[in-house]
Amino acid sequence: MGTSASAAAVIGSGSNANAQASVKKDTTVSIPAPSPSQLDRDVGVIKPPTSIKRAAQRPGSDLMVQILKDLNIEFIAANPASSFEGLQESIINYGPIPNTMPELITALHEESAVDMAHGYAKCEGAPMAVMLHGTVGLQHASMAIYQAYHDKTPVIIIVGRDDKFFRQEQTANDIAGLTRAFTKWDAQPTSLKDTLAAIQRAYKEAITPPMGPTVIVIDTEFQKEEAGELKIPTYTPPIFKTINKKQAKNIAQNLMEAKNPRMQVGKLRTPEGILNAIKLAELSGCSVRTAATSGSMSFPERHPQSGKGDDTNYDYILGLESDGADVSIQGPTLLSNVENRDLTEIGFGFIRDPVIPPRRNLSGKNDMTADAEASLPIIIEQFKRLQTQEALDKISVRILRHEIANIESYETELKKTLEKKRKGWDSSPVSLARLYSELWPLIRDLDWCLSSPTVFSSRHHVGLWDHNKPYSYLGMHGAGGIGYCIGASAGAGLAAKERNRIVINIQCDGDLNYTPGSLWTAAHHKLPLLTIMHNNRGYHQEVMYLHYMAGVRGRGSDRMHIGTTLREPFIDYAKLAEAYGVQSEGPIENPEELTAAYKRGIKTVLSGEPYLIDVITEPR
Amino acid sequence: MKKLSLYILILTVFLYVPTINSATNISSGASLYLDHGCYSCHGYNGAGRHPIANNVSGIMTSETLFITFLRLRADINPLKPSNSMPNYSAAVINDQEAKDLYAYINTLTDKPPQIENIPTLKNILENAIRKTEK
Repeated sequence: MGTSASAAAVIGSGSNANAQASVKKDTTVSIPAPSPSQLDRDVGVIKPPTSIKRAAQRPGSDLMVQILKDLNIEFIAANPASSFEGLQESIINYGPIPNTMPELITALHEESAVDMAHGYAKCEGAPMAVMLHGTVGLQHASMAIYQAYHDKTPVIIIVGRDDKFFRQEQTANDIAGLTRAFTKWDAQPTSLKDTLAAIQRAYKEAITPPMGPTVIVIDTEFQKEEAGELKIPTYTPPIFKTINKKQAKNIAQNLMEAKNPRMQVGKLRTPEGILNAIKLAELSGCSVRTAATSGSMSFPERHPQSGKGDDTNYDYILGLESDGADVSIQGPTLLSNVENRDLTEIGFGFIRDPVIPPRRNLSGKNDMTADAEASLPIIIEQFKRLQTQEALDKISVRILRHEIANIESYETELKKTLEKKRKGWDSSPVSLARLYSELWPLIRDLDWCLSSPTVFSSRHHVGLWDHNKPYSYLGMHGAGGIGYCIGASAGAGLAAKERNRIVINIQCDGDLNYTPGSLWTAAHHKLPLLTIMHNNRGYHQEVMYLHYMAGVRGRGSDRMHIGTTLREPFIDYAKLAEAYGVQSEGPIENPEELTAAYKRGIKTVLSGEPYLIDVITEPR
Repeated sequence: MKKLSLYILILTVFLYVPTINSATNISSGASLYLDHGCYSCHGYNGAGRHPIANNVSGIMTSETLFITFLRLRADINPLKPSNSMPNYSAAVINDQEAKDLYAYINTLTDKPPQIENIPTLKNILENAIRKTEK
């Protein structure tokens, strides 16, 4: 068959063929004379059109981006998808081109996108956003959303919904229902106007205790719709529930009158809350227990008043997002979301079994369900009103005594800690104590953030490193879900990028293999992220569990590596990183090589590039 | 005469121990140490999170004590996952293997330098003291 014949075969039965046939039949058709512009073109006079008619002069998605700008959302992470193409185009092209507020961050997996937002929010005390594709993208992200929810971390999640023009499997009448049991709030607006209001509401809900991820499902039509003269609704900030003036006065009075008051500070919401906690501690001269080695947003560990203080017979203990013996001010727990949303009772066993009480306010004395951070300024104000010169003198003496006692205690404890770190110092594989110890002198004068959960690497930073910033240590995964670490670390890297800060990620090998694509994100967006592999070549927690199980059953414990270890072949993480564009080295088995490798890594990270060092380690 | 017999018995036991600690047995003990997961808590060199080198925990005081310890670990059916020391019955590690294991563990030593001879740790301590003096 010749070319013409093939073409004829292709178009033979189509409507064009019929149209041609009808033209041939109509012999009375007259051809019009060429227009002046056609004649101009024939002689080479070609002018571009003076205006292009755009699909929308002011697309709805531009307004959505403007809201994100107004809310100071710095980043929005996404894996690209058709259901939010309108919004994605606006994020890139609306405002100064390319727009960087929010900056679009390319994630290689939806789970990674949410993990990044999780890590970012724990550093900054403020949310970033993610975009997810319909049903399938949201399901990919669901585990990370679940963890952010349990970690009470704000994340703004925008889900694109294309209900008419794309694959029906990728849409649903109620997409947000997929994750409703473990998100704080969701909406699927039915107009562009409502969509704009919903984004603002999602932000407010996310940052109001109990903080958590919120979901807005946005139809493609509203993203592409001509907004015309539609105005962005006026944003009203959320109102945080505080204790009342009388309660504040009572607390202030007790702090003032106590001979040895104490504050126990848990996880506050923002860095501003920490500043106010410091202010109250310094005004009242109390000693302070911090949670800074357990997670972000707590009292500085090496503040002179942080520690047991001069005397451990405390006569008044105030808890701020922590259980104080005399008064506890704690925001609402996740339980407050459950009644209307958690239809599956997922992750809340005690609801099914009311015998086990909720884990909070164990003292049961003067518990106040209010936001501690928002309550602090009221207490401070009341305290200042009660101040007298006599009290000030007494407090300044108390501060000095606490400071001296805490310094002595710190030095004593540090010596004990170092004594423990010495064990196995020269061992190969590298001891985890040495892995952390060698790093500390190299980073202690830098602004650093330890982004990774450290329970699997035996928490050797505790007692050794100084956790003085709101983001010094970001704490655990949220719900123990593996695969969180590198994504959350990339999110911490986003927070660090323009703030002259570096991020340290002690990365478990098993965890990295879930979502290694975040390494590429770190390379692509030039994140100051130093990843040090805790490469014990296995899922070690499970190795230990299985050995115990085998011991109980007495049927042989020499096969417990099956299904729990990453051997035959070993995984080469330096090569893995290299493949994603991250500079790397290793595997390092000789502990003597650590410091030089760290120095290379830190130098690279300070220049704005990520770096990975593969270290073969003791299991724990 | 009875006294002499006792001395001979003690001497025999004493002389017997090195036979147990022969290279072959130590090598077998090394394999057992890895295969049965001892490394997972005690470290590849006995200096892990729960160190066993240098008899720091006391269970290496004698072979008998060590074997008794292996046999008497909890063997109830755990409801919760546990990462504590497993039970090792004679069906899993027989007495001879347990002796090999004991012999191998006795070869593990952890003699880290003192803090003042580890520049990193010395630096950490001195820096902390300098800071607090300020």
